[in-house]
Amino acid sequence: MRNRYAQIALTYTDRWSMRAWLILTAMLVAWLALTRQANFSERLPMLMLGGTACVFAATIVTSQVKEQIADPRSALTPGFRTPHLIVGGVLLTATTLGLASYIAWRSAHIEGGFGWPALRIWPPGYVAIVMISAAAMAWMGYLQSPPFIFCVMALGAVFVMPISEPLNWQTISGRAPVTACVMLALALASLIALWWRMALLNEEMREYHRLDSFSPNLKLSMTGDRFYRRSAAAEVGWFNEWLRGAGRIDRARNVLGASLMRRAAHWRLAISFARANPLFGALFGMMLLVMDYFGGLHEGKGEQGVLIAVPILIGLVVPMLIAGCTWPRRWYTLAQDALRPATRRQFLAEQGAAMGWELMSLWFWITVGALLPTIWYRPHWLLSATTLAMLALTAAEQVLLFAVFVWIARYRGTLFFTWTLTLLAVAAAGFLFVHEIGHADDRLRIPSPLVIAAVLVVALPVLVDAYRRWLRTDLD
Amino acid sequence: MTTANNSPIALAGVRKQYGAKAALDGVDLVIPAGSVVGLLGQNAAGKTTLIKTALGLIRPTNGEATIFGEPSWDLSAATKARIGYVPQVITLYPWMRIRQLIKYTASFYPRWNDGLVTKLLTTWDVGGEDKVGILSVGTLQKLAIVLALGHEPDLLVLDEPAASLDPGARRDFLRTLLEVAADGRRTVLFSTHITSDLERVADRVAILRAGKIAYDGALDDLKDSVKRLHITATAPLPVDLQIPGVVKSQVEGNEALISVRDVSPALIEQIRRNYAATVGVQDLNLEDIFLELHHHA
Amino acid sequence: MQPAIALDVRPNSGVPIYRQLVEQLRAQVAGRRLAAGEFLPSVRTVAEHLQINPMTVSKAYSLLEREGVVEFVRGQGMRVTTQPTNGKVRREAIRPLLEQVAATAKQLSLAPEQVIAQLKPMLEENDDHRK
Repeated sequence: MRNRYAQIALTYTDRWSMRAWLILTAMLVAWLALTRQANFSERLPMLMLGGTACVFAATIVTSQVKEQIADPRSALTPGFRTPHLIVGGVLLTATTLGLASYIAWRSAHIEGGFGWPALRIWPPGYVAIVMISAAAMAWMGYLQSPPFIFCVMALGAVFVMPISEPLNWQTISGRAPVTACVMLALALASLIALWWRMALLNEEMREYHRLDSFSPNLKLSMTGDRFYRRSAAAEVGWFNEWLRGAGRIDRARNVLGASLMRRAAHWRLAISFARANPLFGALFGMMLLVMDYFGGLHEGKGEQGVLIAVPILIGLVVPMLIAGCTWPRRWYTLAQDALRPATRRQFLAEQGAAMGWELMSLWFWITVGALLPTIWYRPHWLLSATTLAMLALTAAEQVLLFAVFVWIARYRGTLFFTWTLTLLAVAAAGFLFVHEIGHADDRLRIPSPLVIAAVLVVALPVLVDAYRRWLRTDLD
Repeated sequence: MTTANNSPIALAGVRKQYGAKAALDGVDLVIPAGSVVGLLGQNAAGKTTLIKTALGLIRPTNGEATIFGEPSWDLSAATKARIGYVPQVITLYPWMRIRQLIKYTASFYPRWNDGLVTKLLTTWDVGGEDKVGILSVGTLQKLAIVLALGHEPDLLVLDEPAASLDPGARRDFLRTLLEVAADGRRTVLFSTHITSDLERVADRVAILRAGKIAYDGALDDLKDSVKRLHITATAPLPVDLQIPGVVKSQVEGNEALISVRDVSPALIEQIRRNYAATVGVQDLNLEDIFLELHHHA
Repeated sequence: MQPAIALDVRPNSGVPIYRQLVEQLRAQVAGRRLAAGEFLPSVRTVAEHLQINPMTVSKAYSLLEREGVVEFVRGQGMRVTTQPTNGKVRREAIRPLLEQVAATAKQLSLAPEQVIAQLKPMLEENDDHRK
């Protein structure tokens, strides 16, 4: 049966993500092995890249193991689960703990240079930071629950914010050995707990059905039509009902022949998380308020970058990321919705209007939420030309992002495909924003109205083209 | 306009190509108003693609599909209000309660028969407060059928409607279909591979085989014309029996079992004389016919 | 006697349902279980009772009407006609079944006398039962 373990290990090479990871990691390891001494500017990116590689490996391996376990075969085939868990566990250990330790060991001493001080890396400290991130990502990949992902993202944001920097450096350089050990122990314990949960995973557990972000086609062919229904079953909790504002449906009125916007609002009853948008804003507001408090803003230390540029950037980037997660669920009911009395043109325009409305609502609430510290500490900054122009730029960019998403969505690829392209579009939008406001000498530039106009000029033809293409797209 | 153009569903030379594979390979099918048509075919014969193309959810690569005379791809709101559809894979908004989903669905239509919906839900024991996402496959199918009947459509299209129902619910469903749908005013198209359901309910049958229509006509005509002949001759029979319209033949010595497409007294008489044989005629039910037609695949 | 109850079709038989109905009703009329002047049950009643498509029942009724076995009375339905139920009609009614018996007997190489000898007691027993 030794053959069996090899077979299981080989399933990992089927994934293009794992292959890409292997190639990049091999290059990294080769580079580390060949260079003896390196200065700070060369080695620091390696530490960050290596850490990222470990974290990604955790996601890939966990999702692969889960896909193998969350399947009727794993419960019915004798001797199925244990070998899969063992192979996955060994690979996870090697690609996270093993790789991180190697990187830390090879980078133990970093010379100064280019104005940077010499730095001593304490391997357990580095490994601890990598492992806690890897554990979080592994759980994210396993649970695939939006609230959990959101919390991890929020914590992660705190982790990389300037206020956490001293703690991180203390951990990495070995000046906070207890913190490092606690972190490492926590990470390892949570990974063991994860494997234990997978050993028990069954259909009664909600996360069993959450698999669609990776290879829905494979799962659909394995489990047939029940899959989507079951993954949908994860959506029926009371919290979900509250977020959706389900009670409003009881008061819904007939919309036959109603105006475009009324029908779009009616569609939003079914497709949006109505109450979630202000909630997202409130969460961001609370988080930033806390961070800014510890950052000394209440003592009058704030700069415009933290209080204006960062909140508006959050408002630019986050809405599409959230929408990109929830909108693809829309495809499942598209066929029957398309048969409700309305022409194809009306139907598509209504869906577009409903989605555009949703994105604008997310943008509004998250921007307002993220600006809460500003409203609290520096209200007079809000009405400056800089702030207003920035808001105009991000609003225009939302239109462009929406157009790009609708254009991509026509292909109705896997969630992974859609997410990746959406992520690239969002990153590009963020880059444009940062580039426009550039902040030499702590002073923010006012985004040029020409750029704002240019964004809209690009967005509109993309939107029109997307609509035309959707008119010719199968809605099955 | 000819009558065919106004019929509930008309497909003319419809092809649907997915990459190199043709899911539909030149389908001509006219469904007359008021008929109950069973669409029969093996798995992957193209039943679902045919239905989705007819409804305008899928765009044919070639050919034309119309519903009540309108191109399926560009249906008006008024025509869509006359269609009821139960897809094979039923995905409804999982977080809605059944009563909410009904209310929401009704809000799109010009009329809604609350009495009928309530009656069906009661008969089928579907509770209004349950959430859609936790329903069993069978209950979900019942709910989808109720939703498709609520606006009293003139054309009802069901893709494998009884596949997930237990025998009792299937009986109820067929009874409902007969009461509500098969009153001669409505047209029903339903795909299935359960021939016994079809035999009770359908008056016409269309058999789809590898993306083509292998038979389209009245169910009674099909049963009257396709028969199995048991030939017993006094001398050994030739292996390649020359009989017109043979679907399947099996020859062993003096005996032969031949399935023919168009049986007639003349044909039987001809066989009797040619082979000095006695000919027994055996009736075939739909399942037998279906299997015989798919024999030399 | 309620004729709808006496009807019994097998949808999954090779004989089309409408022909099963025609044969059974024809036999009931010929055997005087349905007397002249009696009405056939409504199409809807039969369709619901047997759970079959009403159009199939209509088809069977109009065939019987064409044969002159029943006639349509406006507002009341199908009434059995006062036709002379001579022997020929009744013999025609049983002919398809006998043909099947004959074919099977030939396949089994049974002599005609053997078949008749086997059939005779059955006929007599049935006769007693009916009286």
